[in-house]
Amino acid sequence: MKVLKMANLTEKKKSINKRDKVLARGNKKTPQFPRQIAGLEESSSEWNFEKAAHLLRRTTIGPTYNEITESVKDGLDKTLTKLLDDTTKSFDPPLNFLDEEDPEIPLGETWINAERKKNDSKRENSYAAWRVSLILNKKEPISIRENMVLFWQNHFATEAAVVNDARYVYWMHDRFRNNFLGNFKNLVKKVNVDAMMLVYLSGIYNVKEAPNENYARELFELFTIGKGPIDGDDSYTYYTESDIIEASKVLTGWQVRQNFSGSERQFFNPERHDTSTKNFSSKFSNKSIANNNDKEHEDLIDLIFESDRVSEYICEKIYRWFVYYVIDEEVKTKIILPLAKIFRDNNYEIKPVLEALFKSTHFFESHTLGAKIKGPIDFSLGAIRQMPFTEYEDFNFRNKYFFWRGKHSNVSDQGQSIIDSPNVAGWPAFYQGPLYHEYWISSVTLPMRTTQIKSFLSNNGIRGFGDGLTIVSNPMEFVLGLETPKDINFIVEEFCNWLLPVSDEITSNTKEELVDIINGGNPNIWEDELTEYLSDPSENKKEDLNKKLRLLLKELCLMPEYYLS
Amino acid sequence: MKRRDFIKKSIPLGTVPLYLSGMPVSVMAESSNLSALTNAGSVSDRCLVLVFLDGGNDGINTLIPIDQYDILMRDGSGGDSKPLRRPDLMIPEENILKLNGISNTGLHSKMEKFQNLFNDDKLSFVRNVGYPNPNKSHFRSTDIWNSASASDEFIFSGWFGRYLSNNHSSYPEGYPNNDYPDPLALTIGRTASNTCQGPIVNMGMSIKNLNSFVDIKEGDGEVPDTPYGHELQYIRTASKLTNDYFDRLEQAAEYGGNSNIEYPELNLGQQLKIVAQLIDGGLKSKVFVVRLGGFDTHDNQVDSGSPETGRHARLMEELSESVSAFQNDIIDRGLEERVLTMTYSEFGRRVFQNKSYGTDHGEAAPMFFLSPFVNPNPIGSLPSLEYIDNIEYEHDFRSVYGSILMDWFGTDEATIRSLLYEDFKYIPILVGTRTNVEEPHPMSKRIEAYPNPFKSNLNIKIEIKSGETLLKIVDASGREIKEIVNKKLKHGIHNFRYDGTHLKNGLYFILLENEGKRSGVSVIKRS
Repeated sequence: MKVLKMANLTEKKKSINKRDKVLARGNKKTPQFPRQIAGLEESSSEWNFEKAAHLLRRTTIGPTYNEITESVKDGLDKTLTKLLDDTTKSFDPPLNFLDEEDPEIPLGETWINAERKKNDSKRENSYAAWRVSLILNKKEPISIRENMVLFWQNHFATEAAVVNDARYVYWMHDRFRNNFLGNFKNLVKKVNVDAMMLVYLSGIYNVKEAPNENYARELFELFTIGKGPIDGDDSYTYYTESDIIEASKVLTGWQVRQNFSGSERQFFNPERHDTSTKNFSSKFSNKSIANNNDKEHEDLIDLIFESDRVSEYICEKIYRWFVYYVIDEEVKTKIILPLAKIFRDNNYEIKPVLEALFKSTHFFESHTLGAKIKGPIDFSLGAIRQMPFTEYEDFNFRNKYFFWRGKHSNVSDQGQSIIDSPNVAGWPAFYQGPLYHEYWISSVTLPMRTTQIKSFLSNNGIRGFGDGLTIVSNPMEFVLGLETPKDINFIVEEFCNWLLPVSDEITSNTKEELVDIINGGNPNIWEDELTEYLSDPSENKKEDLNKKLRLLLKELCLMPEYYLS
Repeated sequence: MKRRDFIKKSIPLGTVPLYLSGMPVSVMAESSNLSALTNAGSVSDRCLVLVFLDGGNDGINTLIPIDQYDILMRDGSGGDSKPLRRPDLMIPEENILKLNGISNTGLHSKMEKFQNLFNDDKLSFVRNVGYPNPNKSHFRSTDIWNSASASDEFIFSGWFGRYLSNNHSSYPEGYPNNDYPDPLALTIGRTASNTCQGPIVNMGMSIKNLNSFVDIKEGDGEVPDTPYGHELQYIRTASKLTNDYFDRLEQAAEYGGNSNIEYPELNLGQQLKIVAQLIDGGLKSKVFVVRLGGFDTHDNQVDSGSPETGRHARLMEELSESVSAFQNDIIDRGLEERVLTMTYSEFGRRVFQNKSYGTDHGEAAPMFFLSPFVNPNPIGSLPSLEYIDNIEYEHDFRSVYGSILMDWFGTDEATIRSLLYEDFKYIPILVGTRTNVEEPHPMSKRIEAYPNPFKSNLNIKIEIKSGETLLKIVDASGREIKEIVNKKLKHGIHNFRYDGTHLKNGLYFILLENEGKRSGVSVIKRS
């Protein structure tokens, strides 16, 4: 009896194993949808609140209601012009807010050109806090900038915890901020010899006597061409182990300065450089690179970029970042390959690629809307950014930095630290199948998200500034700006449209429940209370109404739908 | 004299499989009276603790080949015939920790606790574990180890996830339920380990600490058949599972209570402390995954001029101290025989050092196993490191996994082949654990039998408290072959000899009853 049962089980096991291997051939079957997607042709459907909200959710972090309504008025083209405006802007640098014993940099001054400091963690804190401040900033016109900086730092991922020098982190990311829509090929050339990268991937130890292949390997595998299936001994379809070794020779000779000012962070030491001719495999048509000293690493990039695969690999990463993680044959044919062509035709400029993507029918169709799970930065910092809060502009800079640092903990606890990637491949949500974006949601992060929303929208407000300071959400300010603030059904409708993607899918039942949070089954309560307040305004009355609205917002932001973008 | 020394003198265990192959499964299945006889723990109480050494651990500086010390000290000045090895990384020879019964290998000087565990027969290792055509990318090789796939094969699911999904094919639908109220797998950390990824969903969950239990809003209603609906459903399911399992975890944490053992204030120690508390609190998860990162020691693996300090030394210390605290804790909680701990890393490192006091990505490396049931004879022999840069694999990691599934969870060989690897080859990492097929295992070391396998004379050593003592030998179906002793004996150690020349080849059990407690060991007759 028992024997028989075991045999059956074995059969079953085999079939599971088989199915698993089918899935394993690519993401094309996980998940599968009965669909036919549109392509890159320009979207011709009507521009409306839902589409504007979708575009801003995907390109910026936590769009406010007003930003969306303005974008509705602007139309798609003008909105895109604003989002993709790549004029260089300068920002106040990060400040020392924590280290009272820094011998060189007093509190309130920046450390970005200071001398190297052995225990660097306070500068790292300062940097992370500063980045949060840029993401939360609502004073600037809408821009894709901070989202793109995150994209690049995830593409060229590094860890401050390994390098222990916040200055290098700052300068590397500053490069990304100044070229956030720039030329990718040039960017790789810069990153090759970027101080942060040279230290992080052992480039400074890469010398002619003992080539260190750490950076060269990732340059192929992660930064440019991507790793293909093994197609022979030590061969990964697009490059081979011997290409890695040859490339590491090309890259020999670079060092960094411990102390620097401005741009003088790395330098080329010809004595450490391998001057032999480097011979590449048939994957690169057996071409070779002759000695070219400090320009040689650029020749390497030119060689790698001869392959069309680079443009495809990068467009896949862009797609997974802005659209969705499933890249099946259809997505590949209709989106990735045409985008890659645009990329090559424009000599690896990023902007035309994004423009085409964000104008496309595919970007705005139902297969795309609401499909992206928000990452921690998008979710937690986005929530704070998009909610109306009382101002903290006038707080002391240290109080502000303490607050920003706390918000960085909120996202790094969920696995999206701004200074430390999990490893050189970046956040697993963007490369690790089959979960991809689902990676962000786990039994660890779900309680964090719940707790954070509850605290952001509590009646006591958000603490963490020090000195007993708080900021409190003030949804009344937002409601009073609406056309018909007395109509609670309208308010709920607008909240849903603003905060939840695909709000058509929110049932009337759910909306009634949300309305009930405010009026507890008495249809006129909101209207009466608001009328009363408007006729004789007082802070107390306003706060009573705010309390009600916070309950409503909390309920909305805890809905699984709010986790989606 | 230690068990290891007995065994060494008889037959090298590393080469003779000590397992039940050839025993008809039906016979084993029917001999259920044996487990009643022996009080043997059942497979359903057992769990596996996986310690992932993230980044690629340098096996050569973990288990140091003392016999090749001079070769490894070569600095390259001897020309092409004596290439550079790793002089800057080598710990002074006199500080390498000795292992009882083994002359050619010692432990890193910061691993004193591992040394003690080994000398107590509670820790062992398999060397040169890897796979053909090794991949030197962290991510790919980690995927390979987690999924148990071949180098050129892409499998989404994890090896333990597939094992779990066999018995729980509808998961997560209908889970948790009365039979399985607990997470099937638990990662201490941010996200559930890929090891536990099932063919469709991850079979496990993760917790970061024991204070993260809050109510998650689950949501309900139909979802559209679009990517939006797919992800919405995923979040809802994840929320519901989290809520249900949190109730159980909270309960287990409370029942388990605080530890009496002091753990190091280090990341790994704190993760393992949670594991011990939850197992003690009754959590029946089959696998617990913990992680220690930082093994990618391309540079400053050792401090310049001081090979016993630096990144790798700190990691070795954290590993040894944390795991040994965990072992003490589970002994203190009476759980030792239910817990098997295993370490793994995505690859080892090169033989030669680089210019940065570090080592680059290599190939095969050792794995450690901790349990009172470990085969005290380590498995695998190190090749000469004189001219090679990479250590080629000797044991396939999938055979290691399969042997654990077989010996610890009672999985049959056909299943192992289908789940993991057609070319599975059994490796005797554990001894005396086959309770799933109703084989008794020793409850502590109150009883030892050697040599094993035996040909004629079998020596039996028992350690008892004074009182009525029953010692007998039975066959695989539970039939009594011989009552060796049945009388009052004095407290202490007693030795017996049994002549088994006439016995048929196969599996037998030596059973002991003393003070109302039953123990047993399995032995193999081979002529």
